[in-house]
Amino acid sequence: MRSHFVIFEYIIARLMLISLLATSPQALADVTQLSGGMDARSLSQSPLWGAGEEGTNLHGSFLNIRHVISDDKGDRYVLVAQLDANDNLSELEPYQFYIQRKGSLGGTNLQFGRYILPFGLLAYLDTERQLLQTNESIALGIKLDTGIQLSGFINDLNYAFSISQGVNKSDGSAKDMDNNKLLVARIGLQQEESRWGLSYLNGRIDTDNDEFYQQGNIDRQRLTMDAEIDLLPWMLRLQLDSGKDDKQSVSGALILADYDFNAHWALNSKASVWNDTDKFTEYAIGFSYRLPKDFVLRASQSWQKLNNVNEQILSIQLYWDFSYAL
Amino acid sequence: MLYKTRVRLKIVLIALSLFVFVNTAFADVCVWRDPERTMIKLFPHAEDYKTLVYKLTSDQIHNIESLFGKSLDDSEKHEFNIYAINQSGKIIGWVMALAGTGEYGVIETVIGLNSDHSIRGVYLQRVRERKRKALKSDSFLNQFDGKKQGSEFNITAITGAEKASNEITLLIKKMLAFDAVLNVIPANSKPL
Repeated sequence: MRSHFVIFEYIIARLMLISLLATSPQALADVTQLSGGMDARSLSQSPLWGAGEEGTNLHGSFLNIRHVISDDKGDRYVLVAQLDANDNLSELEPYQFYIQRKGSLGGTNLQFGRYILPFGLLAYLDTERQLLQTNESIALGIKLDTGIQLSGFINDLNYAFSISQGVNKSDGSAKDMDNNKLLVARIGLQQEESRWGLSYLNGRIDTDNDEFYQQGNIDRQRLTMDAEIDLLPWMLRLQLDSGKDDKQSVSGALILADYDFNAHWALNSKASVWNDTDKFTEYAIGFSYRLPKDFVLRASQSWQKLNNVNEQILSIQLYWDFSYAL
Repeated sequence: MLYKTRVRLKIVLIALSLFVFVNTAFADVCVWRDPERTMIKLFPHAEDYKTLVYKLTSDQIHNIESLFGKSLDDSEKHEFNIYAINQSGKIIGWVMALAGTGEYGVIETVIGLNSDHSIRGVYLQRVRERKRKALKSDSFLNQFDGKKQGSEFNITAITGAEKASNEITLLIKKMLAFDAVLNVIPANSKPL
């Protein structure tokens, strides 16, 4: 935990110093971008189990600093540090912090640090600040991890290969107690109006994630197909998972479907199912309305079922984000 | 110790927030997905690129608005990014992107400029208009090829997508005005 925070503080301090020095009105050869957002939510759960977030709060906020260092040929190093503050700023968490060495245009990139795993839809879709989310909390038990990643593209093909700690602890600790690494690989096909991917994951994941499915040290394998299909006016995102948890077969499916009515209104929907020793299903429908000044209003109703136990969640969210070059 | 670390992080977070609020008005978040693929589409022989961020002065804003003939949006008055495209250690052109709004959401338009600052190609990175196929067609986008700042723009709009056609044309004119005022780095020079 402390090592995460110390590294994060160091990167933040360095980036702030660089940005303060870079005040020339001319073109800035090295670039620092600051972005951030706030996510206020009101939740109503039925029945109320007592462990949820019933009520209204500042669900989360984040600040992200991205600094690009160039050499004689082009952009060469990218430093990223993001701090998340959740639950009325009471829970601070270093989200991503990594250094990437960019290859030449179209070349291989090398990344080191804590990053989102290049697995399934996560490879290009982070729903952390949306009401309808991808299902990695249930299907993987891990989203971000500390490790090393190679990625790039060749013509229409994307590739990514990651070896990481396989640790997802609620206290933010990155210590790899079992010293078993997590291997993740994805190959994707990028087309003009769609993208397709095949992902593989193998390793032990040490997790105490607060989702009811994910506790302990689990030997996990996954083979997953993902797709994003832009079928005007629909945007469809799909993920099909299969694999094993401690030699027990598991499988799941997810579909996110959005429909754009106009420049402001969109319908959002989700259906997902997950099968292991238990069966979990979720159906959700909602809308989003784009307000002026980069605010977005979202609302959703979710119906969840774990075996024979039902739960409904009504959520309303006001979200705002920004981006600015320092 | 953990408590002290958390307190320090809160201080960092608050300092960062204050730093943002006192120094900036906020620019739109424009996510440009797959920028490198777009650069290769526009410059197939490019070897690398360098991001150049221009923080705008009031004089520059005035000059850009004069060339464009209209006021910039508030979110466009803070900075502008130009990507210098390199081959064999020299700049062979530039790429820039700007977002506008159509009837069905954001239209992200990317242009590539030749070394003489004429348009090499136009690419629509994101467009959700119902007439998307026609808007992304060569017959529409090739009308912009070769245009420069000050050129006549007699663009034939896509029937049924007149608003989007007009928005794309304005975005391209605006980017040419940004380029004319900000981009004074000569082509064939070494990147900064």
